[in-house]
Amino acid sequence: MEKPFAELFGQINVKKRLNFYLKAFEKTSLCPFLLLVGAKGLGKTEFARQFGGNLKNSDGRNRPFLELNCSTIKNLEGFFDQIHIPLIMDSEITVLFDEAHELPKDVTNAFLTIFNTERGHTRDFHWRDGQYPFDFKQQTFLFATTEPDKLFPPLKDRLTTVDFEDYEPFELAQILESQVEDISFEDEALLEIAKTSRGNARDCVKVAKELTIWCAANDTNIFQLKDFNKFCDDLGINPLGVSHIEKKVLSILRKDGQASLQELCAKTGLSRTAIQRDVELYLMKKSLIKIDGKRHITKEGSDYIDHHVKKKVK
Amino acid sequence: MAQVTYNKDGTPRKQGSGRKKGSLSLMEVRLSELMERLELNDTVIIGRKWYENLFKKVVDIAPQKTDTPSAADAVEEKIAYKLTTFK
Repeated sequence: MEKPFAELFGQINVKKRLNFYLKAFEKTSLCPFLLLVGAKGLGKTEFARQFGGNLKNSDGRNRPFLELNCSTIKNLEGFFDQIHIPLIMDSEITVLFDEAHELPKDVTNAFLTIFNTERGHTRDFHWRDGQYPFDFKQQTFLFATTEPDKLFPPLKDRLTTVDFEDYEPFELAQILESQVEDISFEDEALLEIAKTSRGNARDCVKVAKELTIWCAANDTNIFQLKDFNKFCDDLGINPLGVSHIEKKVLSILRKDGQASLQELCAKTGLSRTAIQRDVELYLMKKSLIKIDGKRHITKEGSDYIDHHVKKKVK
Repeated sequence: MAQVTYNKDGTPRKQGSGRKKGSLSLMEVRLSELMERLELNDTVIIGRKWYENLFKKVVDIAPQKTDTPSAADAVEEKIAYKLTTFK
């Protein structure tokens, strides 16, 4: 039998923990209420799906996997009527509450009772005139969110958090290569393309699709470092996956040496929040700028502009 | 000194021109008393306010709205889910 998560790259610590819970499940038929936490595109849903696919029912068959987008759950009545009664109650099933921070208040409050950490694997939840049974040997509940700070803290306390990490460039390169068929890569070229996906596995898959089209359009099945610039140029992709507005901020700082947030707002036309949240975070992550009251470009940032922008003008 | 009130055209109203207390143009009468003297198709003069109070309001009452959700609301409240079964 294939090892769980064999097809997925990276996330070593996540794999270790989930493998441990799978082994424990084989013995106990129980699994803690897991909360998968990580930025978008790190593979939370895919890992949850594969985890669910490895859970067995009491009759040995694979347990079905139900994936719910919490932003579409409007109230407790809808949850019980449309989901719990027809799909969960008296069934052996794994349920993933994706975007769990979007759960409405009344459902969150009900979950405080249902997922309480008291002993025993069964709960009867009473609401209005009804009684809604839960059996955690039959039903496994998983949660996933990109914004754990928005999850109601008492609910978060009842869940076991599994943190996802950013992918390393070589892991992204592995993901990219696995998504592209019949194309050979020069190692450095593969790494450079992988870096444009900003540490995000989902973006990596998207880049792989574009790369396949680009190679077909250019009638080639070998991708070399010399092709990288043309590929980026054709598709409007900047090295390191820097967006055009991030590149503009870098250029301003390269020209002026330093700037206040207010000055950057004036020169880019963006709001303070947009610059702080959407622009500066990634530039700081890549050590292209530093902030000490004012915004400064680093040596890496200057090199980036000199190498990738000025060179083009020549 | 009595307070001066004014007509619509701004001239002072003549003292004692109003209706005196108890001087009503309308009176109460039993319908049966009228019916003794009148035929079914006879015309009678009645107070406009009385008529409107008695009949028009009934006609004007808006029909009660029922809480029927629109099709768009019904679609919006559907919970999105994906069920996967593994072989």
